Amino acid sequence: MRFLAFSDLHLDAPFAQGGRDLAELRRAELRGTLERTIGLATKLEVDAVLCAGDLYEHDRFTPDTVRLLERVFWEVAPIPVLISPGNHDWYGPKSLYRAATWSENVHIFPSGEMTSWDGLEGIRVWGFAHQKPSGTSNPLERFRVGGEAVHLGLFHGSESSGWSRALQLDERKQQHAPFSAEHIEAAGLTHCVVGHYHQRVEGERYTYGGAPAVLSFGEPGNGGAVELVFNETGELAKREWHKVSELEVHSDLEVDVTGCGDIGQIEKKLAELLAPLSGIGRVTFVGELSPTAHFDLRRLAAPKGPLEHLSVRAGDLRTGYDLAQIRSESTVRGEFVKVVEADEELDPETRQRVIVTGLRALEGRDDLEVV
Amino acid sequence: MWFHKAQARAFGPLRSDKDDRLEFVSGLNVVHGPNEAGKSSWHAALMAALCGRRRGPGRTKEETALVEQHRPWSSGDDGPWAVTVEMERDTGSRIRIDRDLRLNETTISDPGLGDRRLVDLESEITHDGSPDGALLVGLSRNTFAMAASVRQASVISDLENPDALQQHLARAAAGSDDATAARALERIDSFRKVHVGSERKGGVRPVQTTKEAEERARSELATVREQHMSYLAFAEEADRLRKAVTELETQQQRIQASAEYSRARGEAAQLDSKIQELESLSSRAGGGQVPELPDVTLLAQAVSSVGVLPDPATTSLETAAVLERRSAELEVEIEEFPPTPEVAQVLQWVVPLRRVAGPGSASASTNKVPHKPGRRRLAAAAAAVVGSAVAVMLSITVGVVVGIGIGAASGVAVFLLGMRRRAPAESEGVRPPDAAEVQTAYERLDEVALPQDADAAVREAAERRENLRALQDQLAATTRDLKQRRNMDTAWAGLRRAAARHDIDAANDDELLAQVDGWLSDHAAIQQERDEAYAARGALEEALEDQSLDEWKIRASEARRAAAEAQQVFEALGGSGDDVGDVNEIQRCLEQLDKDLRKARSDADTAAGELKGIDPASVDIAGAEAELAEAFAERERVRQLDETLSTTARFMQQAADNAHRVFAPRIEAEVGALVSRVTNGRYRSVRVDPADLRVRLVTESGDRRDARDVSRGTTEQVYLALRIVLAEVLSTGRERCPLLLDDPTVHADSDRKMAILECLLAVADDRQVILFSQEQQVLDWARSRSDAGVHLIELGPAQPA
Repeated sequence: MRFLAFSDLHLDAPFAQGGRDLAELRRAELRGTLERTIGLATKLEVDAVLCAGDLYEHDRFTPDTVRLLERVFWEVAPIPVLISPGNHDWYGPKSLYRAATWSENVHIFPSGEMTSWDGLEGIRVWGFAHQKPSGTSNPLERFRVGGEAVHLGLFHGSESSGWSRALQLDERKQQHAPFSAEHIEAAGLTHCVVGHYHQRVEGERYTYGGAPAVLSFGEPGNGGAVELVFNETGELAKREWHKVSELEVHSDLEVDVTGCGDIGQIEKKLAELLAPLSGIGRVTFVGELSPTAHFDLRRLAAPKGPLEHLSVRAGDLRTGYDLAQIRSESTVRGEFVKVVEADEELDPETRQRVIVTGLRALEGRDDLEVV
Repeated sequence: MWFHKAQARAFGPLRSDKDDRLEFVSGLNVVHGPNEAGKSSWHAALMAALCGRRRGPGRTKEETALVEQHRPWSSGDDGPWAVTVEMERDTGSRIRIDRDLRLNETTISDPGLGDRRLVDLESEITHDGSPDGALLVGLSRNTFAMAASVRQASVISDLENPDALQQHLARAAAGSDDATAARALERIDSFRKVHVGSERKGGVRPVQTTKEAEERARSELATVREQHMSYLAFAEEADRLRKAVTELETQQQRIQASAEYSRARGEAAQLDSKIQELESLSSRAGGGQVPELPDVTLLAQAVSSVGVLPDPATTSLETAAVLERRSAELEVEIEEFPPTPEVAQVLQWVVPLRRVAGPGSASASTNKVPHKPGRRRLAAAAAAVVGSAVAVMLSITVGVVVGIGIGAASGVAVFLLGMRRRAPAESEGVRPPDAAEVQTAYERLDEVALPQDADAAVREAAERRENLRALQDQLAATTRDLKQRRNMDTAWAGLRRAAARHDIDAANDDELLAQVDGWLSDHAAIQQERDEAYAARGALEEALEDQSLDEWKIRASEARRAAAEAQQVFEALGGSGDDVGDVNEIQRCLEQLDKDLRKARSDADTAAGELKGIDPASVDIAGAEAELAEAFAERERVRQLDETLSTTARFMQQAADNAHRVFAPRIEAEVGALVSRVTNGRYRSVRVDPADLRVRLVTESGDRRDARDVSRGTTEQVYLALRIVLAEVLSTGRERCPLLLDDPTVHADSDRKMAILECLLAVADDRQVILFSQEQQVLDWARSRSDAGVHLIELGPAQPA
């Protein structure tokens, strides 16, 4: 029995931090990712497509999204498409799942309790829907199944006991429908396809496909559509990730500005870094910044080169001033550095900005906006 | 610390093919040469050798100037470009600083230890990536240039400016050669005005525009969210309507299925009933031929004929012969019966006789009865009594009918008699009969053999009449009996004949009749059975409607299957057998449902259409959020910039105040003494305002004069004193700071020049002074003061590279 599983696509995600253009680009990519996922399902001739929630974002979905989902899932018919709504696409009265007109091959698990779908011989898929955006409890707590059929779980939840790796990767990630690997076995489920964590997790009895498309800079980006093959006894015979996102996301690009005397040199370094790339990227500038360099992040973000979007930020960027020496001066300059450094109420970033701004002002410079 | 030796290669005009060297003393060194002899180059070379260039990326304006002004004139871009100085520190040790200016590489070594590299020292005094020898005297390459090195150009430019002293002090205090704290604050303020501005409605500065942009974006987001909520509500309503349609359709299907199930079930039941009926008819019709039955009409008629007749065995009727005989006898008797005139006739006849008899007769007594109203009734009563009596008697003797007849006749006679007797009374006064009439009366009586007595004749006539009637009645009865007897006999004879035709025979009539009855009963049963079979066959043929029973059975089977299927469909739609309602009710429901459904479909279609018509952009929350985030980030940037600039300005002001508070008293103390010396006591001290570092000179009399208001010469002297002192003030006092002066006296008159030189000679007691000059007077002075320790270095004219 062959399945193609995915989750956490987050159609209509805001992508608010990169500006409207990037947001539109990213949302278009999510839609493309969905189409490629469904195309892959057809190509692999799977028995069913499984979606473990967070297919879209309830607070933001648009009529376009409704039509897209209706069309895409209709196109894959008669391959069944099973969906367990998650905390972002929770199943409620105003849910997209209710607003849409689904083709017959689409089955949504609408109940807050585990219910089954047995459209395939010998296998039963169990799923449930988050019915609120938070506070959903463990779906496996009191759930038990038995019998001859192979029982698969499909839901959106946080595995929170056995591995915790995902949690460690992103501690900010809020837990929803928390469960442990032991619950799966106790429930009598052979394997669970789960969504929520955006990185792939290959558990013995569960699989997190991860976000098929990177949703924010810094995500591992190893998610995708997972091809799962179970033999007749329900044993997982194959688990292979397929890349379905076309947009390259380069989160960890770094430019060391040490040695760059002016912004032109930084731009040159940046251009060299970006030259072989495509997609979108985020560059972090690090190193020792020359006092002479007019470091302007907005200017640096402008020449995106071959990328479709470039995001820039200052990382561990040290000022090129020899503060120890300046501090030792019995001048206003030295005094300035001392009084700024003595102020304990300033956070380190503000302190750094104030010192550099002041020193630049004392040097008669005009580039007083310090990153 | 002082410069001991200096060496330069290809530093500006200095030669690249040989090392130019200078050696100094720790006191006052006068380096003299004509224009273009390289004095400024040496001045710069010493600065470069001691302080070096920052090794960090980029160039400051000073560095750019250094590179531009002092790059090799002769060795091109690839030749040597280096400076070296050997410094003697206050501890007596020497260090040599070698700088490759092209590579910007520096090494510091100890010539006393075989040029061993002093790595630790290099590291200790490295500033901005390059060892800075100025740090050894508590300055930096920036502050050294400002405090300990006076270039001719700067002196000239400074002295053109009335505020030069104050500004220089401020620059020195700021530690910057380019800006004072005040200028820095102005710059910050200007920058803030342009790049932040103030919040003011209609303002065009970032703080206002970004605020408005954020508010717009926030408002837009709120609008979009509101529209999105409406969209969700609309979608929900559309969904509800669609579901209502589906529900109604399901309901309609269920009811239709119910109707279909009801119809199919009814049809199946009807056909089952039909099959039962057909099978019953078929069974009753029989499978084979029904035998022909004999015609029993005659026999039945015969039985019927005898049925209405008395039973011969029990009948009282005489035989036909007896009755015939009696009838004949009665006919004879009647024929021979005496005349029977009507009583009334006789009464008419006897009227004359009664008149003859008169009133004394019995009849007369009757006539004498007075006429009373109740007489007629009495007569009638008497007649009734007589009649009854006669009837009773006759009934006893002759029979009831005859008795009654005779009784009635007797009654009538008595009545008539009574009436007759009344008649004379009524006709009293009528003439008496004549004899003829009497005779006639008698004759008439004779003719009919009646007695001559009127009453007797009447009575006789009545009796005779009655008797004749009795005979006639007997004859009639006999005739009737005879007829009956003959009929009976005929009927039985016919019965026997008819029975014989059906081989029914019996010993007597009773047995015959019993056999015939039994036979007819059997026959009737058979006949009925046959008739029923025929009827059933007819009904069957009619019921079959030109189809065979098997065909009907197939139809019934199909109907049952159709009913089962309809039931399945019905139950699949949630119905149960019990739900199947009345057909009319179903039809009514369907009609209502059809109306509801049409409306629901219309509503749902409208809602779906309007839903599709919603512009996705109008509910694009993500886009609005991105826009708001962008606006917010921009506003946040401006806010942060504002905060940074404000904070910087605040700290800048605080730093300036602090520095000036420390700086001013030291300047006052150090400069005051020097100024007094170089002005020969005309000014005994200076005052420096910590607020703005304005310099005031205090005269011998204690007056204070603004430094901007004194003579240029005095200004020069104060300026020089200030530069000498600044090095001391700004340095942190580790080692004594050498002074490098490039033609500082060029604008001084002779006397002041001498005073300055002497002053410098005095200063040189405490620190090294290297004075570059092109002036002859200075040369002369130096030569003249060699005994005082002035070390003169004379540079020749510049050599072409």
